[in-house]
Amino acid sequence: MPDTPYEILGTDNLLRRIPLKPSHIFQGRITSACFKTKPGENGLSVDIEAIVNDITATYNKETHTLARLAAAIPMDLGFDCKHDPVEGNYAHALIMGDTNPIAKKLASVAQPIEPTTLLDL
Amino acid sequence: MVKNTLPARPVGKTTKAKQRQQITTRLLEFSGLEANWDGDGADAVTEETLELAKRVAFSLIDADVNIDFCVPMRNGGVQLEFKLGGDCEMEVQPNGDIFFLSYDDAANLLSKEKLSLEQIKKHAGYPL
Repeated sequence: MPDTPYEILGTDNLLRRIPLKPSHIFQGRITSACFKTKPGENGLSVDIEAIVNDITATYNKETHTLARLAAAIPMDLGFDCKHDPVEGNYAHALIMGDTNPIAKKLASVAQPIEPTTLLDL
Repeated sequence: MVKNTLPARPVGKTTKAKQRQQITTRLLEFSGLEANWDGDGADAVTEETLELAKRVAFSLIDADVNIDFCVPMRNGGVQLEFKLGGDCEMEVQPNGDIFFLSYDDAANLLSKEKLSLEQIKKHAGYPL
């Protein structure tokens, strides 16, 4: 595991887990609720697609699907995106801050994906 | 010959009773959720919050608002989604607060207001 944190650029894609039970997708659109932080959280958990090593370690397709959004979206809205490795997930990152004001915007641009469309490493 | 005396029902229109039933069924799904139900630290939704969410939803339905979607929130609240001109949301928070959010066509948040049940009816154009 590299010691230097990954610098997230606007050209990077971020992955957000979307619960399937209960469904959080209505008529093909993801609800903003998936992108709202809880009080006390310092950011919204995502994964950096470019450095995801084993998506099966952080994602269970029985209970979740994945959504992709460009890091440029929250960054252009003034929200830093920070690499935040955690135990068992080196690709973990945070969209820093209270994301409630931009949750709808994030949901509107996030695209549900199948894991087979992830970047080849 | 016996005439059909039943009133014509608009095609595709869901009755209020059916809408209430649908919301009630949907909210029941949330009562079984345990802490961390989303795998990302979400809080369970309490029965009190579910009951308040149902009252809010029924108030909207009574005011002819069609609720498109209903989801649990990560903080233990319930979110109702509907259209009043543009996209709108009603957040029923676990502490009992109710917030009305409205968005523009580009999904930018226009306003977030704290409301009471009585004010919900007024916002939806329903006379008190």
